[in-house]
Amino acid sequence: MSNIRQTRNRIKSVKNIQQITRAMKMVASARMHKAQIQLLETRPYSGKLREMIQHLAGHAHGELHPLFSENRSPRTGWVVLTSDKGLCAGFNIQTLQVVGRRLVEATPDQDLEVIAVGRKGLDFFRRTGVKPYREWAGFWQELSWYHADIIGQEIIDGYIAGQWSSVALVYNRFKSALAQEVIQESLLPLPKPARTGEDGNHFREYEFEPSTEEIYASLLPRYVKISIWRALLESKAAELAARMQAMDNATESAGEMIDDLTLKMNRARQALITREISELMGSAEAVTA
Amino acid sequence: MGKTLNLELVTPARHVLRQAVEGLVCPGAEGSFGVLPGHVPMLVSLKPGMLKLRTGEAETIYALGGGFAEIGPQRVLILADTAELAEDIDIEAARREKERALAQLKKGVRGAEMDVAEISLKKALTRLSVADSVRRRKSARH
Repeated sequence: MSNIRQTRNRIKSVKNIQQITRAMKMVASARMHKAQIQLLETRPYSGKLREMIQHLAGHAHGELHPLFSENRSPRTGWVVLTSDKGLCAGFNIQTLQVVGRRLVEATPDQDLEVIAVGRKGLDFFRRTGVKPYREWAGFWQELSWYHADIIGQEIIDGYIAGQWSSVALVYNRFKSALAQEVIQESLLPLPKPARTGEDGNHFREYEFEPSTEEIYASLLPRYVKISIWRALLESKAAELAARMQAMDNATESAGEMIDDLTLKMNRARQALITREISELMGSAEAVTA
Repeated sequence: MGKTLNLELVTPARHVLRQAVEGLVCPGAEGSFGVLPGHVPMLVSLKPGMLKLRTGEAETIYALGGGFAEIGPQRVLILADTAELAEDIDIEAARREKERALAQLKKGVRGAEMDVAEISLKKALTRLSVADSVRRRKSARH
């Protein structure tokens, strides 16, 4: 008897969990669609900005901007993007494994410095005793251009001050609703622009206002920031996709568990009924005899 | 030479506009300037301000939050931090933003924080003045 009640209680609690995972899946799915749209909307801007820098390149005189040139620092900077919350399967683990492997290989003259973004990454680095150059967390829900601006500025300042010889972004790229991929993307130094000839939209005699240098000085940091912004959006969409999938799997497993438990409960109940009937029959026979 | 310019207005958040216009007025870093078809090629940095587009009799106004413009004889590409159609500006939100930035500046923040506060103050003031001028023009017409 108690066996049946226990099983029934378990079914109930699994059903509750299933409801929660299903709701979480729906929420993640809705948010992912929003993040996906935002990601697509930002692509034209970065494309056009790159175009503008290319056009400008043919007209730059003298020294290249410091964001184009490598420096001699023994350190490489990695901006590692992770989520604030868990329940998204291997999303953070895969990223952190890549970083962990590189940290193990690090030597004094090929050192790695981490710039940590996201609570999960922060926790990981604290556990492993790695001290990030800078850390940010707890903003994914209200992610905006402002965050890319702040992070970008810190990285630009650090790079110009000679903190790193190069800077890369490590994050999950949003491939589709079903697939994410950890990638490592070079951020700084900026790829030197090719001095292209005249194309349809490119003119030899440009006028600049204010000066070429000043335009460069504000265009290039913006390009760095837009790259970070795009990575942040990619990571956000990928996180939500991973969570949606994880919750979908959990909902499915809960369903299987409920089926198993229901079968078990029905068997137990049937056995109980059979036993009661046979006991009843036995005692009835005893009375008539 | 064509009588119109192909204008593209893009912000980090979205592709705002692709449209043929007859002329426009840009908030350049060193003063507002007008652009008509056949303009000399230019690359200009923009400050927060009012972008006016003219197509026939109609005039459309955007509040820009700074950025860049690449101008050619037949095309204009504007990369702005933000761009809002004057009619869509949330005056209340802009006012709150202005108050917050002012409070920050009064507190005496320094360095990067001061820059951020100054920029958001400028953006808020632009929004307010753009919304205001559009409203005044509307009421003058009626």
